[in-house]
Amino acid sequence: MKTFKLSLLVIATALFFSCDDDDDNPVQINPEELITSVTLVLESPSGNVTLSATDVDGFEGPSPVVTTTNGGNLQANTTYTVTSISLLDSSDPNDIENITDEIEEEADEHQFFYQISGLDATASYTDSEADYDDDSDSDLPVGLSFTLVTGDASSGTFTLTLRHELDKEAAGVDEGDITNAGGETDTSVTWNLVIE
Amino acid sequence: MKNILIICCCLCSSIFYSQSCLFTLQGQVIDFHNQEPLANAQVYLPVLNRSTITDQKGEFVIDNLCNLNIYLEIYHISCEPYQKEISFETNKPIVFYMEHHLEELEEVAMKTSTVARETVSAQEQTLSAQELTVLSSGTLADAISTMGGVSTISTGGGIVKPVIRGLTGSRIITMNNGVRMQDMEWGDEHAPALDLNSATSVKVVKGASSLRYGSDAIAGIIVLDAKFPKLIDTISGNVNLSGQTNGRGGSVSATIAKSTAKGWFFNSQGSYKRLGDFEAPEYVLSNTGLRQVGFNAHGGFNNFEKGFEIHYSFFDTSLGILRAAHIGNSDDLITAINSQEPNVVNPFTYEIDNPFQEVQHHLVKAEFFKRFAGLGKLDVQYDFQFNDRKEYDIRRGGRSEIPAMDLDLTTHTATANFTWDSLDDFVIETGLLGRYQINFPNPDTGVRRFIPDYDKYEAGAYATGRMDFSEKISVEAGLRYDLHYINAKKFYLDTRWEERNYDEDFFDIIVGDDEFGIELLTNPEFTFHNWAFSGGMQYQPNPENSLSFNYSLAQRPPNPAELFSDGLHHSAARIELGDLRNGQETAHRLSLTYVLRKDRFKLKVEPFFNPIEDFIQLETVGLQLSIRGAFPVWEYQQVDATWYGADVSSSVQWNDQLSSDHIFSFIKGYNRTEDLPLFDIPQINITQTLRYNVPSINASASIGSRLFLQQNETPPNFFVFSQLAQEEVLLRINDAPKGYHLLDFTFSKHFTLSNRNNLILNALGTNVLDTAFRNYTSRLRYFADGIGRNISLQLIYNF
Repeated sequence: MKTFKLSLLVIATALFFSCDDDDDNPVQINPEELITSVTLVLESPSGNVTLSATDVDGFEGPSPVVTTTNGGNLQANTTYTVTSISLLDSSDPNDIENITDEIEEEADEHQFFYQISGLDATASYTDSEADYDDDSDSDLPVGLSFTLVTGDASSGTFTLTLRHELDKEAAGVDEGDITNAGGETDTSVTWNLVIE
Repeated sequence: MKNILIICCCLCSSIFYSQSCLFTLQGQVIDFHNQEPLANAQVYLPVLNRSTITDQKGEFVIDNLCNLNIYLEIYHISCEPYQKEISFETNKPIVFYMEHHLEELEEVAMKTSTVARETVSAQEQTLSAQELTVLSSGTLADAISTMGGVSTISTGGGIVKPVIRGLTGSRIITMNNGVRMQDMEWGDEHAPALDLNSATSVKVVKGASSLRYGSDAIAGIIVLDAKFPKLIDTISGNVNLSGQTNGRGGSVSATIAKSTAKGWFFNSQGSYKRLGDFEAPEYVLSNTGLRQVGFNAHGGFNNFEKGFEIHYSFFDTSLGILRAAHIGNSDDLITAINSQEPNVVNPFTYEIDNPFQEVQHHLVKAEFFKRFAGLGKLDVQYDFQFNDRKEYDIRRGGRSEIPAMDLDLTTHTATANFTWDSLDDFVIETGLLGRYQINFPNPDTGVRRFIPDYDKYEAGAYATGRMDFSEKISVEAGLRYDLHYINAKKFYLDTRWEERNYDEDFFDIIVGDDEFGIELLTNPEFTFHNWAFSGGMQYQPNPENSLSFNYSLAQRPPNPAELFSDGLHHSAARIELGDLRNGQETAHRLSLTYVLRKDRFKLKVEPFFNPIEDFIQLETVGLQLSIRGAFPVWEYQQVDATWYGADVSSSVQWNDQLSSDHIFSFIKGYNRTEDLPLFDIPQINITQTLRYNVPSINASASIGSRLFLQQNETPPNFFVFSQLAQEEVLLRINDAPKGYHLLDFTFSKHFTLSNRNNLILNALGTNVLDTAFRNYTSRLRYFADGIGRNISLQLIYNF
């Protein structure tokens, strides 16, 4: 009988503790690694072209990514330079986070790739890990800055892809070939462009 | 010596009491359990050295006693001795209740309630303690997949979930020593949070036929039990050491148990397991290592009439997730599927790196039982479980140390069961259940919740009855009702809320909007009434043949993932969406079991037919273009589905040394709504074992063959947009890998050291030919081959 009373006591205690129901709402989470916009400015003496992409609800939300091109078409036979790619998390307008800073801090784990299809243009890296880390002497590219050299008039697509935890040593990767890079895609955006 | 005592006693009695030795003790000895008189019990008065035997009515008479207080002993072959000083009145009969031996008690329980089999008519199978020992270094799912009709889905070496006849997750109830596991079984990557070493038997009931545990076991019930030898006043136990080549690690497990003649018992078990990366024949499966700690302690008091038990169990595991399976978008998945080789292969290591899971499970149980003479047994239990799951992702900004998912699930359960087993051929079992559960996703992750905060309440009641009409026919039937109430608080992206059309159907559950920016807060509440019925009969015309038939109906409410999930599933590179509109599944199952037992031949044929209305499954519904590339969107939808199939197993004793086992399982599953094959239906498999036993030297060896045929009925593949190719590409996600054949061996030798000490040496080899294969129901089949050759050595010392 003693044991029975004991078990009743245990049950009663448990129910007591579990019934402190509170109607507090859960805390809202502001996702920390979200990227909601990508912007890069292609600078040239003949004028700048700004490519941007926004995904207001992030990659998990249903609204699609919207890409825009400002500054008109690209000019033929021109060298465009990009000094930095801006990645932002603007999901909370009161607390806009700069994701580019995080990529600079983890330069050895990130790399951008530029894929050009139909356009007569070539892109090449102009930075290396050592540019972002004083302790590094690595000349492997990160791709936050690059040049785009245009050729003849043409039209096609330009796809910017950011990979995380990739294999930078794999064949062709340091020249911008994504085929063997592996890793995980953080961003992948495509713009339709015209060279005139 | 005895004679001298007798003379002394006689002298004493004649000297001091000769004048008043006129009292008569009348008694009747009755079986406590079924109230029947016990004939042939010996009644002994040691002081007087007098004894008598009870008659057919259990009655006895001892006359010419000199004292009304007397010490007496009663013995009966199947009972604990009765030894007590009593006082009596002459010619007034006294009733003596005898209790069965403890081991007898278990046999009684087996005969009358549910210890041996859960049901008489459903399809069941048990792994014995001996079989389990050999399998104990693997996972629960791997161990029971040696049975026909049971398979696995895996996400890594250590993340393996059991599948019963093609169904898994929330459709399986796992009972761990009387406690229903609450370990977030809704997730494909959530393996059961328990240590197989703590169990001494594992039973699988296919289908929802055992209503004692719940109404939602559409696939089946796995019952793990821990029984320890009731050796009186000695310490017993075992130590189990095992090492394996694949994973280059091993485990150690130890058990000690002690019980006293009065009925007190205590036992404790602990285990530690450490494995590095598993290896496929051609490469290392990087980041598939695991670490596992298990601890159990039981203590209590137990005799025939009453008893209690306190049980605490702790389980802690870290499980690496194949690095190559962690991908960013559907292009990464296309690349992985097309390359046929993992994109990350690192040298072997014991390190577990991101992505990985860390799961802790605490379980406390207090149980009390009492038997009532001539009625039955009452069992009252309270259990508490705390499950903490942390999933670590590959993250930026030094956040890899912070879990991307951190869920705490706290469960309180109280149950009461009563078994009326006093009648010989009729048993009724009935019970009540109350459960309260809190799910808390820790907001410190910095990642939106995949599963929201919720409280869940459950109340259930059931009754089952079994009647043995004759030696040949037994009939059983039962009914169960469970009420589930879920009260959740969930944030939705405004855009998701509208895209789901929830703004039309669920506008009244919004509790906050403007203050949460691009999100809104809702308060979904659900009430589900679940009914289950099971009935069947067994017909055994002679000892050689038996035929059973069972029908069961079960209802399962949608689990949290099916209602709420809302986000990216990394290893599948897909957005998975639950639906607040999802309702219950209703399953019907018809099963037939035929068993033939000849001298040297045993055959078991188990066909089944299992239609499920409103079956919930993930289906692809479209594509989401995001800043991170394209993701296919998968949604939990309800369809009508049908499964059918059969398991056929036979064993042959060829001669005194040689025996063989043969198991054949096949399952078909169709989506009737869309007239398509279902996802993840296990392949046809044929398992054969040839065993050579040499009893004279206590050794045995076996060779096993496992043949898995290619799944020939798969759902269609579909096109996805590839950012890289800038066009629609066929995603071959449903292609079935080729069939394969694996060869295994075992060798076992027993050494008897003394009466109670023995040593067992087991050597096991799986996939000894190092065959490269991919299993259709493995989630890793897109990324890498299955586990290659593994040789393990196991040393067990029993004391």
